[in-house]
Amino acid sequence: MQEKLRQLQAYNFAAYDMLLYLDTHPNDKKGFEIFKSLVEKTRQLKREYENEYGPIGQFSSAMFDSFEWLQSPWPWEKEGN
Amino acid sequence: MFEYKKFLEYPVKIKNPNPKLANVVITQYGGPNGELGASLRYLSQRYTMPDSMTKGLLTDIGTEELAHLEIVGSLVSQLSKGTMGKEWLDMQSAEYYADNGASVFPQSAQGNPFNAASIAVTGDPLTNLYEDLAAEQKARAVYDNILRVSDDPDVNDVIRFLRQREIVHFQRFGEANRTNLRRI
Repeated sequence: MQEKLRQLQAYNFAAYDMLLYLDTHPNDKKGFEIFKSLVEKTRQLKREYENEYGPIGQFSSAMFDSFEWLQSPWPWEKEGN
Repeated sequence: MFEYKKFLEYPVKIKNPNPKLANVVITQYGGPNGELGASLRYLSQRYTMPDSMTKGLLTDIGTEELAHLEIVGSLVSQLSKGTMGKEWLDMQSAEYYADNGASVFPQSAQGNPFNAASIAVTGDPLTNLYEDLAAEQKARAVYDNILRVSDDPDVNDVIRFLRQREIVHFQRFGEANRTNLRRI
């Protein structure tokens, strides 16, 4: 679980950092391409993580057979990291 | 609107509870240069900004500051988790424990509750941006101070991440400021 979470956190962070870069460099085409690929990889990792360990988005809870939002660990707890 | 992601922007995994250190780190939760003030400063300044670059940047950095608030809250929470009253007395942090128990309350290291007077929202784009540049440096300096007093590697790893983000935000605010200056 931890390894998958670390990957997700890394790509999520990189994508967000590129978002801030694009805010002040909106015409950087190469930057936008990097952003797109980072976001795509983040989405893919999020889907994989959720399929295995439960929802990490509020509305992702709707993909499951039962309401599992409360089952997965909370981020501020040591066990959730 | 805001949507929650059920993971931290950067992982927090503290092995050794330490109420005294929790009492120092708390200052970046609710102190004068902390993450609560940062998010409120940027998200409140947005409304009068004239251009979409600064509107976007303040929205996106303000949102990231909320993620940082959660990281600092997690640090304080894990540093105090499972501790009993006597340990807080031994660590000379009994004053915090008396008011808040082993929980997370927005206050400075000196015990002052969060005060919005530590942020400025002026309606003037350049004044706001210079306030933001200064705020990022002040937060960076506080993280440096924390690194000087903390010898817990698990805590310091997270503090270093947060410190780096202050530098990146400073850079982005500087770029937005230059763009604004060119417009005058």
